[in-house]
Amino acid sequence: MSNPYADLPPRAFWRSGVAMADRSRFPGLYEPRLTLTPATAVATAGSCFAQHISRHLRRAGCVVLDAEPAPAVMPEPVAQAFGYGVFSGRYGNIYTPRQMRQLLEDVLRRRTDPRFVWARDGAYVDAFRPTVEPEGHSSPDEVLVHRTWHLHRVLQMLRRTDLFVFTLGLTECWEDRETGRVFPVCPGIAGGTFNPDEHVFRNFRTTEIIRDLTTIHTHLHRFNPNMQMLLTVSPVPLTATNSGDHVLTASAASKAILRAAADEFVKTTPGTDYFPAFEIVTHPASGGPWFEPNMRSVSAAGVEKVMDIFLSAHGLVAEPAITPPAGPALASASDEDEENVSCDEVLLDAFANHGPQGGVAR
Amino acid sequence: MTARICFLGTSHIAAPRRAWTENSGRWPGVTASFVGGHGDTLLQTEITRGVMRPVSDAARSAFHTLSGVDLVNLDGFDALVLTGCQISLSQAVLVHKSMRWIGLPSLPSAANLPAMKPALVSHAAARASLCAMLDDRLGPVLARHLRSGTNVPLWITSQPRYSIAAAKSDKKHVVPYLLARRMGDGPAISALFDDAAARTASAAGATFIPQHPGTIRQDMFTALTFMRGATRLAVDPDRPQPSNDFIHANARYGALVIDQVVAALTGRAPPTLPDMEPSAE
Repeated sequence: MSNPYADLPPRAFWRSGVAMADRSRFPGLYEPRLTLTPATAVATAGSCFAQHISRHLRRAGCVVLDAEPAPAVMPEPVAQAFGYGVFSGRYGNIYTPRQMRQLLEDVLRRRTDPRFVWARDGAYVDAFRPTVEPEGHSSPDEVLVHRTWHLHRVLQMLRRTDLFVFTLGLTECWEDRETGRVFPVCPGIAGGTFNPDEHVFRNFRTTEIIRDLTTIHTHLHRFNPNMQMLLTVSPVPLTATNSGDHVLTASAASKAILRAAADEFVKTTPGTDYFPAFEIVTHPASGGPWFEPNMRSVSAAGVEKVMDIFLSAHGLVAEPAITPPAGPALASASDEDEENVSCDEVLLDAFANHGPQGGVAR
Repeated sequence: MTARICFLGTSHIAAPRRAWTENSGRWPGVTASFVGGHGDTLLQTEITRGVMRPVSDAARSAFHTLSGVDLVNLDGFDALVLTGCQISLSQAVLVHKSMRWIGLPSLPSAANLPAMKPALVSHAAARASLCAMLDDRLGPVLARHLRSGTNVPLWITSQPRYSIAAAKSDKKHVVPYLLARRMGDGPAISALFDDAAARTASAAGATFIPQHPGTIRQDMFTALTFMRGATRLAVDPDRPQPSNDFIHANARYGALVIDQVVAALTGRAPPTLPDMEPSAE
């Protein structure tokens, strides 16, 4: 008897697609709709997990654009501390689609606003990327000059981009009540002063996310009409939630909303695709656990697994990471933290009231 | 006051050594020793119970032939001074070559800034870059090596800036200096260097002694008075330096370095230069 399931491929069935499948490679899990070759000019943005994508794409010989490359003589640890080479622009972590949309609109309008210069420890930082300058600038004007430079460089980069890879991180953010502009971190954490009359908590709903993704897509095509867009959802849970829910359920809700929005957007928007990094890391079927003992940071093995599946689906192979030899006296060492991933959201953890057992005291 | 000072360093150690040899009476109560080695030979040593011993043939040879010693009892000194250990303005000039920061006189107007070829970075990023670059140089590396085996106070002196004579040179490595000077950025580069060197030395457990301001010309060079008749570390200390040596200083400069060290040890300001020739440089 004929039925619609009779001719479906193995990937459509749990037993052949998951239970009996080679789960180290997960054949068929990701069948790219977009073209990615070593000649494709890729730009990356998003939450901290997006940094892995840039790094592995470079190792696979792909052209990952860099709007603001570190100056030639700037040592790598300094470059990383100042946000160079982490993403395709020195925009820091972009956690929400609203934040991404806002950046693109700033680029399009060359917009800087002195209201969004934050004071921090006697210095000044850009409220929309407060952690790319660990020591800050000496004046608000200096912040604005640097932001103008940044927006110009990002504009140049976006005009060259063939494939824009955006990793969705969070639904929660803080918004300026007057202007509706959103921040990557809550005011008062990495600069500025929190004021409940000025700063509003936002937890974006699925429809808002879809709307922002659609606007992002439209804006990207203003830079390059042929630009394609690849979405991922970061598997990294929230560091903290202001939703009133437990952070575990808040994380689950946030990721579910982002995942649903990504699905809706990709299914209805040509020239877009979704890569299931979130599923690979978080689903028990993929083995694991792929998290570090803090149950938040994705382990190096987890990242390798995700990126192997991604790259092999595109016919690409990442060269092994080059580990510098243990240097004699003349080499300088740097601490490794979460495989050198920069994550502004982790700053929130400093404000947790950890109890004696490592829990959060209520 | 009595002070026992040991100068450790590269070819630049010859300037204070000659100054000491020629006129040790200038520093009453002070005794000075000099242990030099080319390249990184001073790192080819081990330090146990405050005594530094060479562990390679090159280091043994350097200790013996250049300094006449087999070991150095570091704990027997009141100060260890690392001289000419690659802590040089040239690193700051390299930074300036590839990046610019707000406050530099040469910075274009805001409207023209996007067309600027070097990267616009924050002053903090430029300084952090320079600190990291200096941190890998011999001075801080040797300081950390010494610090692992002794608690004697450490000082790191600046290498002399290039001779002002280099300003008329067409040598490739001088060109960035000349460009920076022409752009009016010399004072800012010089200030960045002194700041970064001080921070780097401090992080390595040492104190930085900047180049004596009275010896500096046009912010980026050293007056001829302190470079003519330059000397450098060699088996034959009387061998004349080539006339185009823009890098090494003379005994007069070396005397000022000792003045600075003694002043730092005693907490007094270094002497001014009343006897310096009027500059025609």
